[in-house]
Amino acid sequence: MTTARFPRVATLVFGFAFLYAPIALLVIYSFNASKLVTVWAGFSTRWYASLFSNTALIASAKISLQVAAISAIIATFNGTLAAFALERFGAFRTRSVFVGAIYAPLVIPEVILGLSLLLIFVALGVDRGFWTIVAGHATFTMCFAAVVIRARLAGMDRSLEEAAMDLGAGPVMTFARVVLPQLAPALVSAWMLAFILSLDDLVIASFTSGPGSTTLPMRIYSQVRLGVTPEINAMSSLLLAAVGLALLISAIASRKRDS
Amino acid sequence: MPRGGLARGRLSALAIPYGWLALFFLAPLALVAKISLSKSIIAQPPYEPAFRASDGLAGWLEKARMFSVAAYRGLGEDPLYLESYLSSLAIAGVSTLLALLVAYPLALAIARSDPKRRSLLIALAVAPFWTSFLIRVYAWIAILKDEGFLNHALMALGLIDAPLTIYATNVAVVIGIVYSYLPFVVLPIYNSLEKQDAALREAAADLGAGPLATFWKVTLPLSAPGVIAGALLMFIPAVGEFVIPDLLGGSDTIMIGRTMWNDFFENRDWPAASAGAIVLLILLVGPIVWFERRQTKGQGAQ
Amino acid sequence: MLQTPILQFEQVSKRFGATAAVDGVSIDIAPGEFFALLGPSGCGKTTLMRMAAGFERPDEGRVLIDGADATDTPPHRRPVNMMFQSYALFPHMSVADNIAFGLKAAGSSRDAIAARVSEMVRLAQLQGLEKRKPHQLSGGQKQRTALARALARGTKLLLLDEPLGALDRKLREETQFELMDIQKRLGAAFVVVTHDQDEAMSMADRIAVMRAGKIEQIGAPADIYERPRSRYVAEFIGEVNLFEGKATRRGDVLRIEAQDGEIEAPSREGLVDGATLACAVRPERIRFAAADASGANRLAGVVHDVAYRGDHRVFRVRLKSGALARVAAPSALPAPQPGEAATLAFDADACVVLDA
Repeated sequence: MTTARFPRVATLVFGFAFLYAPIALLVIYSFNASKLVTVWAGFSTRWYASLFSNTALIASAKISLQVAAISAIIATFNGTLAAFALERFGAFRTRSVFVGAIYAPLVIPEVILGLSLLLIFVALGVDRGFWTIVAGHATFTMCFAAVVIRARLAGMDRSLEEAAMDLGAGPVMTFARVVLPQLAPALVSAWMLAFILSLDDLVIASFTSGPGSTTLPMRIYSQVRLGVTPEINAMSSLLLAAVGLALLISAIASRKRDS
Repeated sequence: MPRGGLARGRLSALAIPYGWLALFFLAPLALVAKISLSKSIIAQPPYEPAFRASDGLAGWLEKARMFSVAAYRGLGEDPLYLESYLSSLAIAGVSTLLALLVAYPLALAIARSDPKRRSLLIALAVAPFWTSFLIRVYAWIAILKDEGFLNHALMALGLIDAPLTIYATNVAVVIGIVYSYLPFVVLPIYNSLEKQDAALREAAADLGAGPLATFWKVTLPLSAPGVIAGALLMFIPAVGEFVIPDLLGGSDTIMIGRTMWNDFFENRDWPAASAGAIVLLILLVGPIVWFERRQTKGQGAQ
Repeated sequence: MLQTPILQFEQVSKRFGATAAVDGVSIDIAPGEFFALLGPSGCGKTTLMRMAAGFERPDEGRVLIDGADATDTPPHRRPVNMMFQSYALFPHMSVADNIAFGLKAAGSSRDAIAARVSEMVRLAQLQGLEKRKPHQLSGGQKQRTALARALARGTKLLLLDEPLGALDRKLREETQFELMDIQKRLGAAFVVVTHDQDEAMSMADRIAVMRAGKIEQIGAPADIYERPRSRYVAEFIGEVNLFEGKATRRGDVLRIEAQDGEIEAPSREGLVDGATLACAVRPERIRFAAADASGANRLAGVVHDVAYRGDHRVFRVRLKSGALARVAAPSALPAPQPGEAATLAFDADACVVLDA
């Protein structure tokens, strides 16, 4: 454990500065009085005020939250079943296809996923809108959910399930009283991961959305292309605060559970 | 339980996620492959289907002969696609190397920190992943612009006289990719470093190896799986990246994700974009399969 | 047959891939018996136990519980309970809830569950720990909780997978006696899987020694120790010296021409004159004799080293052939020092004749 202290601390300082400085600057300049994003002209909360009168932005935020919540529920449900299939069902025919379909979306560029989803919706004659975004997001986030839940399942002592059966519990009671309580933390983190991935996604939403269903990232993206504005800084800061708060709560919750 | 067969309860539990993926992942990919073999027409949808169920078998055979590989030939002839692939691979490759150079020392520094602080530090290193990707990329615009923070700072320090042009170049894209994917690289490297038994380093030191020799001969080789996993986790999605080149790159920044996006939304050439997607998939599946083989071999050896 | 065996294996076999984990095993275990399945890891003892619990289905043969065919009965419908090697205590439940689990599964009334739980808590000496979670318990407390949980349903057949494996040495010995005590009080049959011969010998009424999926010998502990039927059993249980050579029968006496000297052993039926046989002698049956003593069962050598074991000492003596013989002698008796010449002696009936 005796690594020279100075280089280690210096690396940590530089590394975390690189990771957090851009975010910090963004948040600081959301309170800038000037319209310029890079020249400080005094403290102001005017951009937050103007944010709340931007009805289009707020409507998009609402859509994004709804899409994220619903798609995360579907993803967690599907991901749980998929994790059990991968971890507990042993060999079955076309298992390798299934494994591939679970792992490929984790790394395949989003452009390809979005493009293929758009094509299938066009081919099926489905009108694109809210529900097609939900379907698209539920598809790629279920793979992340499956990986998270599978990891927990793999770490679970199988003899616990055997013990439950040995004590006379049937499959349903074993699942409800023994497996589910142990899986719960993983289900919560899988849902959170799916929720955040959905909330954050621009590419797949762009391919699968239709008129009237513009998500928040799509709205931010179209504004960013027009230039950097303090209003977007304010919007971003709020999102960062929300995610930060959620992370903090889950960290405290898991620390409590452990102790 | 006989191999290949599943009890009824399990079958239905498998059918739901499998069916979902079949409908929303496998079938769409198959469709992409099919459309890539179609001819581009000006219509909605803007392609002429290669196969149609109503054609019947005879019709299918007939059409199979008229398969249009035009889109693929187009890819080969269109310098834009060729250039897109090459420059995507180059940009993603350079970014991955740079990310490893940043991530490895950071992961090492975290892994060698006080065990009590380690989990907090790694959580902090990964936390940016949870925040919006788009916002993190956006944050760099204000830093890299000609009149941005970086140029302000460098000029204030007297290091440069005139602002550097970084924004809207490939350099900005590389910085953006390194920054955005850093948590993906740090985490697997940290995991493999953290697992290493400190006694191994003590044994190396005891046997006369200096700190540098210990690092080269013990620490680094043992962390290779983490390095490879981190590099692949970053490289593969980075090749197809759209948001970063679009927001930080210039008009001359060509990456395959952006080219496909433009063909889709602006040129409305769906067969070309589909063919581009298929070629990209094939390019990327190779390393995944290789990694998977390596993994299973590694497990077999243990 | 006096009474129906509580557990019967009838010619059961189980293969995993190409290897036969259990190969044509038949055992009858009587009600109230303390039975041990003993063998090295991978010998099939755990698979055999898991077939009794219902976690593995035999490829061939039948498993009968209390006279009824249970081969295809799922674990949760079997009147058998198991104590897991890892204890498998439910980490999200308190000690009391763990113990109550099987009773709830059986649909007992609330009052009946409470009464039975407190009875089990007393039996396993867990008073005051009812509300604790498993991670707040010591190793011994976890072990007792697992035992209480497995016994709560009042099973007539308890399976214990390496019940003492996770305990440290001192606690292990105490717990052995506790287990025997509880078993006697409840009158249930206990089947213990263990790789530890001391554990099996001190607790069990009968032991089955297993090797590569097969039963090598079944018998009472003293039987197996004193009269091993094969070299494998002799070497697996305790220390043993083996002297090999060509054997000739002289009436009641068998003479073995071993490299280190002539051995006399009791003869028995079925031994072929002129065959190569081995004489197995336990170290405590060998003593040091006067240097000038001669005749059969007198072996000369030089003391190589001595290990002090408190009440006795173990000597390793280099014999003529170069082999090291072990001799265990009470510490109080005079004995040669390392480097000194010694003559080893043992009675003919100390020798168990085995196939070489």
